[in-house]
Amino acid sequence: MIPSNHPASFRDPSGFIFSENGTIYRQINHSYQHEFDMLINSGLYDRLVSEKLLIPHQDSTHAPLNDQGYKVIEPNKILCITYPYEWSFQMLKDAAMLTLKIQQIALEYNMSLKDASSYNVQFHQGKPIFIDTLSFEEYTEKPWVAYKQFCQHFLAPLALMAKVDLSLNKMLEFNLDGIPLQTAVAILPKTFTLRPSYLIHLFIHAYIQRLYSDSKKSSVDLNKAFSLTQMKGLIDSLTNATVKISLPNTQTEWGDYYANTNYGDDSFEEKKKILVQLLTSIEPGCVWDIGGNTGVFSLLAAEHHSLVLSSDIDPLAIDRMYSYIQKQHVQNVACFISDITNPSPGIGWMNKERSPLYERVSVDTILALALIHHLAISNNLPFDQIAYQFSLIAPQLIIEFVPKEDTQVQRLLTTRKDIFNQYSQESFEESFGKFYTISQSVAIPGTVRTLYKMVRRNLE
Amino acid sequence: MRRVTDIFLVLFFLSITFTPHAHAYLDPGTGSYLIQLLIGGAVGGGFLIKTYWAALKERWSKLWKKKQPTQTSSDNHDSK
Repeated sequence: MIPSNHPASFRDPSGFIFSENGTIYRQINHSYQHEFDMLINSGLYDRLVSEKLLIPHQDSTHAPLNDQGYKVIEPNKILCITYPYEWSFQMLKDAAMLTLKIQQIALEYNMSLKDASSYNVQFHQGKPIFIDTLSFEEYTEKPWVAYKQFCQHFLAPLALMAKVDLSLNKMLEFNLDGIPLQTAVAILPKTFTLRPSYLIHLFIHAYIQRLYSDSKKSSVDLNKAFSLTQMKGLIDSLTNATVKISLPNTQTEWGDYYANTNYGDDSFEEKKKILVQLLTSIEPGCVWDIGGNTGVFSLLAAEHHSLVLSSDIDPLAIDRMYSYIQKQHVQNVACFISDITNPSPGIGWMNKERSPLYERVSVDTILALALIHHLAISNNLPFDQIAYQFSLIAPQLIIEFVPKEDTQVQRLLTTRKDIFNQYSQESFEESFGKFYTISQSVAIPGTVRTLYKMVRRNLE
Repeated sequence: MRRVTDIFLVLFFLSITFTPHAHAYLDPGTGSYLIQLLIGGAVGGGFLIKTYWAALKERWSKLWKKKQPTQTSSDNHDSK
């Protein structure tokens, strides 16, 4: 198979990522040889890997793809690549803290991060981890070249999420190199300027950027030295600014997400038992729980099976799940924010720099619990469309049918004209039957709902 | 402590006046570079004060602990 360069890996002259037969490799170019050897020989790599801050890699026997290549390494694989516009508040905050911690440690080894892109962080085994091994350079007494990027990729979106709206990290989807500071300060409440660190790193920073964007004049000698103490002070100041950004209490006081169902505790436990039985009969390698909410069923699946992706449209639900994963050291669940009716598109150069969600997700089983009514009624999606899309994602499906008599569906219909004549269990089975074989269906005791196990037709 | 450093930092920044003179082409990234040079003294100074303050506190607490009468294992035993 011909190796293919990753479409996002073309900006950095230090090297690039390519894949071959499903394995990810990173070529390091001769132009980066000095820095890479320094990373390894200084002990910085070992320190960061031992503290689980940097993705480990193995030296590969794969030959470099061109004569610029110094060597090829094989980084450990990430379960699912997610992007900052799909992260919850705490996920982005932890990624920011990781970046600053790595910079602090790098300075001890006379090295520094040359960029602070949020795309350099991924979530691996439940924790944020730095994935760009080529982001390190030798420290020279100069200002931090990644300062602007840190503020645009982390500080500005965190401030916007905390102070304006929790969903504003979506702005990162159409601002490839972070939210421009001038945009951020135009939206942020002016009371934010009362906090000195935000006043400096966001407001004054944006002002100076604008002041010098169309000018050829500067009062400051750009060749002026920036001492190690000054650098440490800057990182300390950014760390304090990041730590202090938090969600208002009203937003963090979650209600009980499962309290408003129309079934009692017994039925809820029955549903869990049936789900475990269905999952055990499938033995999936990787499950995607779509609309996973706070992750009750995702975590249940994770207890019995290997890998679980869990997504939900609600940023607070994902924040709650992420906190649980952190607290309980769950390693086989990756969570992210996603609206299944509007999944993340491909963005950047040629629409390929950041891949669409469906290209990043590789699963063999979909879990769609208490989801069908939201898709079919709230979003007017025909059953055929839903079944077709699911069949493109994974060969196996566990889906819960929620009939019209269910109080949750009745709630959806209170403000809508009931134009959903086709919304019945019969037409559900007929539509899904076109793409799947229904291998098992179990009514959930004490409810009007049914759980189905289905297998994609073309795999039979 | 951090608050004092922050206020010091803002005052320091505000005390700076821009007296433009000719320089090479500047882009928005240059502003990010410049602001670091401008606040470098303040954040560096603040960081030093913070570090020394933490060291002083640690030393003081160690001295304080030494002055406290040490509880021997027999004392512990007696109190049980």
